[in-house]
Amino acid sequence: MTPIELSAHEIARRVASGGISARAIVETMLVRIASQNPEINAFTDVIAGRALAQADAIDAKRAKGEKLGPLAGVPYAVKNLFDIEGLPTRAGSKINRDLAPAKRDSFLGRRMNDADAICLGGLNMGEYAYDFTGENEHDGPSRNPHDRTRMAGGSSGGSGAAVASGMVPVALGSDTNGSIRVPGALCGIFGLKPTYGRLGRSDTFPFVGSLDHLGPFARSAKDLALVYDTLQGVDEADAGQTPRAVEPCFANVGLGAEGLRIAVGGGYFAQGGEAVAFDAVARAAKALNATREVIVPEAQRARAAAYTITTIEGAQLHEKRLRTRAGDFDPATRDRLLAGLMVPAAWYVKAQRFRRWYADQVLKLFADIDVILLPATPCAAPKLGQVTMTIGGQEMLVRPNLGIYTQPISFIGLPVALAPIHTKGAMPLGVQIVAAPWREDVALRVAYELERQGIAAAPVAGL
Amino acid sequence: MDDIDAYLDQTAAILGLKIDPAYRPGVRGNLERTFAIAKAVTEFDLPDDLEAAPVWRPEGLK
Repeated sequence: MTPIELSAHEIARRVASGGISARAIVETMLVRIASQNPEINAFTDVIAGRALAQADAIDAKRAKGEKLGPLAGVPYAVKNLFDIEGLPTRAGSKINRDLAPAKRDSFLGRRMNDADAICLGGLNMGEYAYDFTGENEHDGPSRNPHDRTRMAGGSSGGSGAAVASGMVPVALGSDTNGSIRVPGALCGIFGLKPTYGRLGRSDTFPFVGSLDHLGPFARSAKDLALVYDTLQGVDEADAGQTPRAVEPCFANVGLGAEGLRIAVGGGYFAQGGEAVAFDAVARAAKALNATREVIVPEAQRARAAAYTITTIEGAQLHEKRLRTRAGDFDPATRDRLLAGLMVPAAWYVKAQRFRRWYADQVLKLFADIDVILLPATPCAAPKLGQVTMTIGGQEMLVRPNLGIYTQPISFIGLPVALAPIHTKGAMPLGVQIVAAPWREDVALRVAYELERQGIAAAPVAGL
Repeated sequence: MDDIDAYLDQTAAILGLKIDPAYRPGVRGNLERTFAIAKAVTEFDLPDDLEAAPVWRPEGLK
């Protein structure tokens, strides 16, 4: 195994034991970034000097016999809507480059740093996170490491591409309607969208406060759990966080799926996609002996409500910029946000009230099941620049429809682990492992079990 | 000119929102799509006592 394939927990173990230095790890990743990034275009900023200085500090700590954090020497990078000290937080935009440099890293970045993880820089994303493609007018598209002519998925496209191409073992991203799960699936890596309100969001650039979640990407379920444990904690500056004690998952991630009641989503989640998307779910279900089907009620309407809240809340956030600098937006973002400014306010309130109704219905399902398996996307990665796709004989727009299966779930904040499913000679796909609120531990256990059985995997592309 | 065009013109005028003619087809297309999608929400009946969630409790209310 080459150093770039090492998992985060293995890096931390070796750095802590002195088997390898944090500096050597960071230097390896910087070389990988230099060779891969010119084409993959995942990183928009590389902070090599800071990373090497932090690596040296960690190595010095170890030399003095001090205890290192649980992510000692683990390189990571963040979607560029996370603050990085000294950089303007561009959030995929041209406009935000005029902002003052951030005074400190984001709350989650600080959690990572406190655990002795090392930030290597900021990652490409769809403008202002209003995106499922990973394309960006200003920075160019993130390219899919498994086929560079294809989309990485978005909006956390750089996060997906950086981890899949071995530039970092761990990345952080955001997910409002699917922006962790879509690029996770298209790039073939693991991702975790925790329960709404679980992880602190302060010092990141928002999109839709009602629906914004932050979470990690990695190449193994174990790494996701390790990083998730690190990220938990009270963020006094996040109005959306639910105060809650840390509930560690890493120690129990290997418990297996025995005893868990696992169902497959039918109805809405079993139509409107290509056969390969449902095959991926079927493979996971078979491995887990999940034969039961469950219908998530009114999922189509939930997607519509999430869409409505997103366009209105996003438009309101950007109103001033839309009035003064419309020409500086990515056209795909601008036109949707301008339209969002003109949608009746009553519809927004209705969509928020529907959210509560729908949550009440879906939560009933968890009385006798623990996990629902769903496809992540209706298809594998489309070609870069592709505007429409044909599924089941129906032509549809790529941009809004990549998230049809993710949107009804994040809408009510349920935790989801994304397990990547690879087929030889084909582009990867993903399975959403949906659990009850606050049961990230259950979703991660199932992801780990699929990985243990060889059903889910996240090989570094091109090795 | 259809209803969507009329709505776009009137609303933009009242909001004082200048829409560059070059952006108009894209904005119009998105407005039309949003109206079509949001219909699923607006046509759905909800009980009067069902409140949105000023404090969002992912685990639901008791």
